[in-house]
Amino acid sequence: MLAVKRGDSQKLGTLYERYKDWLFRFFLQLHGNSVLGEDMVQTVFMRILKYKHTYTEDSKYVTWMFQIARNVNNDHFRKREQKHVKEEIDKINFKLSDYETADERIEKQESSHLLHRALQKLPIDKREVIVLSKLKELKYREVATILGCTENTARMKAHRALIDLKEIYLSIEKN
Amino acid sequence: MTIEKFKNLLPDFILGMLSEAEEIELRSFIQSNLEAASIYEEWKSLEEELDTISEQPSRKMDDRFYQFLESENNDGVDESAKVYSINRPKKELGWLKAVAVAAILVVGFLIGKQWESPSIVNTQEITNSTALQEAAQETEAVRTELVISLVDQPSASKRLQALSEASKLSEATDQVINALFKMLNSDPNVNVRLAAVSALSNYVENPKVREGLVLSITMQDSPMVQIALADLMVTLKEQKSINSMETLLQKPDINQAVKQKLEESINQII
Repeated sequence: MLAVKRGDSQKLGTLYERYKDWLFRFFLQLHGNSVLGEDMVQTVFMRILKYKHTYTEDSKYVTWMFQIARNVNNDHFRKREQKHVKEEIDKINFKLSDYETADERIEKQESSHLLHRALQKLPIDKREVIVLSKLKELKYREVATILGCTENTARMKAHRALIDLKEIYLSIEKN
Repeated sequence: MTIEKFKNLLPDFILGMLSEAEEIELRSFIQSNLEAASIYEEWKSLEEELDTISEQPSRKMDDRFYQFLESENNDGVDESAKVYSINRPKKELGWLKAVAVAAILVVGFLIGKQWESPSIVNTQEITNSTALQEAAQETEAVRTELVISLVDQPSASKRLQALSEASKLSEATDQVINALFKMLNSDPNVNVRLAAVSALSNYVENPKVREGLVLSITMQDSPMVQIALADLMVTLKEQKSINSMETLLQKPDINQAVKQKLEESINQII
């Protein structure tokens, strides 16, 4: 990353190859939509290049990268909220019947996987803490830095989220 | 360990947050305590699913990334324009906008027809195809570099990632081939050796690879790898492998299933 920061943007390719799968799975498990996941990975790397000057030697690269990934995700949610409000108004104005976008259709198909379905039923912050904690290279200390909380809080959040996930998972499995 | 401590540590265990020593202690507690075993049983299916998450993005994502990287290196186009070009187009346009866009396209097409110059079109096509070729070469170079850098990683999953990346290469350099053989012949993990057979099978048109695979047969001690290599030799109808397989058959400690497989393979190749 330091080479990228110095202006050798070709090295971004090496970072991309090393972390693209992690980021893709992070977004896929948050949203259950692979098309959206790929778009978001692309956006993360564009932002890495754009904000490379903010990277410092004393911060761990993975932690810094996931902070960017979280921002990309939050921006997506904000836009979706705005779009949702607009769609609601459109529905009232034009009396559109139940309308399913292509994205929503893809989302439904891909959510057929049991774990994905259970994750989608969790609130986004709980989904996020589980997905981050499950990444082998991240310990609670790094998860805490990404989430902006203490290590102990990150651990507690992960525990609660995992217990909730288990309850949902088992109830879906039974049905 | 007490049952309370076990309950407290179990989520950390499922998330892979425990140290090796703590993990061993917890596992042995599960085996020795019925209540712990029953609690753990409830978690098992979820734990397995969490551990097998392995979805991978499509090649399209790679293509888009390398086109973006190429454009970053080639020009000084302003950032917002590049962001727009890479993002997916907006799905909805107001009808007025749509009509205006359609009209501009029709007029543009008609004017283009009038003034079209074949040499300009050809130059544009050549430029585009050169840019794509350069992007593809760049992908190959980065991937090769990545494979080499992951081969000696202590983690087996990293070495498996190296093999997965190697399988995506359209051409492998000697350095990559040597790295793949190093994994096939000396990696301590059997899954890595099996994946190395699969990765090398992409380059069997290279005589050096075929020769290396034949030689590797006698070097393997895992029945699974021996069978995988025998299967590959049958697919390739590789006559030179018969000697290696016969040598392996002479070993006194040969696995019975492997023995049978080798005999069948030799017959199929002959």
